Amino acid sequence: MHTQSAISLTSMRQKHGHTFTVINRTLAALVGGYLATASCAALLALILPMSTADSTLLAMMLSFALWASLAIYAFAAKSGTRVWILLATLIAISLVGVGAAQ
Amino acid sequence: MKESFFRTMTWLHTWTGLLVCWLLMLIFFAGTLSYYRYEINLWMKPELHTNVLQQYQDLDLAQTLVQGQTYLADTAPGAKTWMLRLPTHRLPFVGYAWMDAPKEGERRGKFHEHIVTTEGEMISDVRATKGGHFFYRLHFDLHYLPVPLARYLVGFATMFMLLAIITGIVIHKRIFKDFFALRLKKGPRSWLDSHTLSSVLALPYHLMITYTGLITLMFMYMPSAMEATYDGNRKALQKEITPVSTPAKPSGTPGELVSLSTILPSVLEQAEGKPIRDIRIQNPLDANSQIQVVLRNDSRVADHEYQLLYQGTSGEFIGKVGDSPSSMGKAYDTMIGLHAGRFAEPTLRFALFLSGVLGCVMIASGTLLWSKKLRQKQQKQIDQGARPSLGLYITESLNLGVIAGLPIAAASYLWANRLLSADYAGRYDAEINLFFTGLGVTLLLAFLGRINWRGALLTGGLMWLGIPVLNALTSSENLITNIVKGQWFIAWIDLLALMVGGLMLLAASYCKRKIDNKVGNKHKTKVQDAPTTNSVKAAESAQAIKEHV
Amino acid sequence: MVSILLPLTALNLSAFVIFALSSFSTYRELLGRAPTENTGKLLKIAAALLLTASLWLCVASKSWGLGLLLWFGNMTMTALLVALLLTLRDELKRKKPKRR
Repeated sequence: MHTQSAISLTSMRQKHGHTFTVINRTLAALVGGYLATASCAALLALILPMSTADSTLLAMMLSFALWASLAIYAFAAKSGTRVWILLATLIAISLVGVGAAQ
Repeated sequence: MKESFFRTMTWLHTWTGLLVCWLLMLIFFAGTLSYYRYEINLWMKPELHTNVLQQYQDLDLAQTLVQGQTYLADTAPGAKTWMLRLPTHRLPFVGYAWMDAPKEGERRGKFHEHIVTTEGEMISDVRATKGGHFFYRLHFDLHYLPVPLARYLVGFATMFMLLAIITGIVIHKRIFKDFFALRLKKGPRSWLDSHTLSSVLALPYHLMITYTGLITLMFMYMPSAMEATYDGNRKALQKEITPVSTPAKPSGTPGELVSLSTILPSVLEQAEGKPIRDIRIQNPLDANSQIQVVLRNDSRVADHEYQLLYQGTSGEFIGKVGDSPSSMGKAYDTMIGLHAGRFAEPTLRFALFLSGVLGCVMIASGTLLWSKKLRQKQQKQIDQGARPSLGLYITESLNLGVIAGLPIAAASYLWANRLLSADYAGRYDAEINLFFTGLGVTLLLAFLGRINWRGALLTGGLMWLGIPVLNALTSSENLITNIVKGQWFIAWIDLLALMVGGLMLLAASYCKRKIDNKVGNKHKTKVQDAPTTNSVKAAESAQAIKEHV
Repeated sequence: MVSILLPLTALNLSAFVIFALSSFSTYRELLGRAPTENTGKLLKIAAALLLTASLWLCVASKSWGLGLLLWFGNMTMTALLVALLLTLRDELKRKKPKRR
């Protein structure tokens, strides 16, 4: 009886940990991934060495591949913190770049 | 996240697929039917089944244009735009059409079209129906929902699909090994086999259609790039990538339109052998009128209109609208063209259609596989009298309701087209409502446990098989006369209906055999188990016993 | 269109039949004896060569865009045909003992 409850407690803790991980990674993949993709696309549209129309279209067309890669990385990475660091870096660099290029 | 990369990808594949599978099923189903939207359109207008189909090369161009011009001047003098539509491989008939000036609050005016028969007579009275355009719109606008919301939902589901495809490729270690093996009647193994087979065989198609699908609505989904470079002004961007003619503004003073036959030699010279798709005349009876000759570009994938422009009153050549000057603009046009498949001639179109069907099979087998595995896990408890878990109940009901419900719904739509009176005022919406009634009823019965796979597939199969019969009874032509006359464009829908119906009956008989094989094995019932009231349960077990005897 | 459709289908169909044969179990089932390792490899190479030939045929007679599309589309259809035929064969074989 005692061991059983102990086991269920650990599994519950694990379960809660799992739930947190899933929510964390999902948010990183969907929200963080989208924001990072959108800012990267904005930067690419500004800096790609071609006409503005071309670079805008190319950035938009490639963006979904980038988002998909980021989303998969968000789940595959060793730790959730790493994912957020990467996303934050991407967003920061892009926004600074956009500011400088505009 | 999980202990290994492989496990994480498997988990991601399962959940990205599962969360959106029923919406995706609807999107794929509607999209697949949209390959034949013009065929469906014509099938749903039986008034146009006799003496209407024509081919461009058999046409007396000058006579058709002059006749059209005279007809429109008599019929629609006040229209904003006239359109003379010549036969193409997607619209194989001649139509004289016009658009009213937009009323307040409208983006575009109302569109009217009268069809010319091969005998030169006009058909103006055609039943109101959305035809194949319904499936086309359903594919990305859904229905009953505000359009932006629907498109975001569709985009969301598509993004999940992209993730599911990528993770699916990652977790399928032996993509080129054993993919021919389809082992039937082995429970979850069979569903895994058909999932693998349908995914791998049409993998280039699945990737292409998903990615280009996102691109078709990228201005909505990923506007940040456009915000940075064009301040979000899509029109400014569009102007640079697709040079469109600026619409002529009416001057207010009346003017006389030049006879179209006088500009024809110039058109044929400028077109360099490309057939004319249609001729549009803006502000036809105004001094500032403009003639746009739209040329066909069948041999190319890119979805882009070639136009020749003429001044309306003088017939003077103004200029050409050609390919996008931007290389990425061309790439974008190609992506859109790939997705919509407007270029595809019959064999390629059928291949695209079958690939779409494989996409539906991929989604359906994926979710069925999941529910079978879930049921296997619970089978012991269910055998001992426990109820299936809520998750299992919902999954199984949705599977049955959506997978079998969609073909039933589409068949109801086609049946409604012929059974509702041709002059019933509300028929346009009633047809569409009956589509959703078909889907809704199947879903409801599935959730109530009142229908099983065999029953649903049998119903759907019979409804589809009935479609050629229904057509024969309610149209001036039937499958055989259509084939004899070479009217494949109309006959095709009947043939397709026979194929779909036949396949559904085959699937139904497979369900039946499955039950027969298990006679005596009282542990595995095929009837949907629904945790409803006791009476329903009792009725169900009675039914189950009946089926086992 | 029709003119390249026939040779294209023939090429792809034979490629996939050979490809299916290159799998150990299918080979044994269809030909009654086990393939050597080399046979399997050779068959795979032959199938790949046939597919390359059909790709060349498509691209040479169409543009790259349409050619690739046609190639992929035709591969899907022919591979589906091979898979369905193998499944049908399985089904028929399974039914036989029952009838006896």
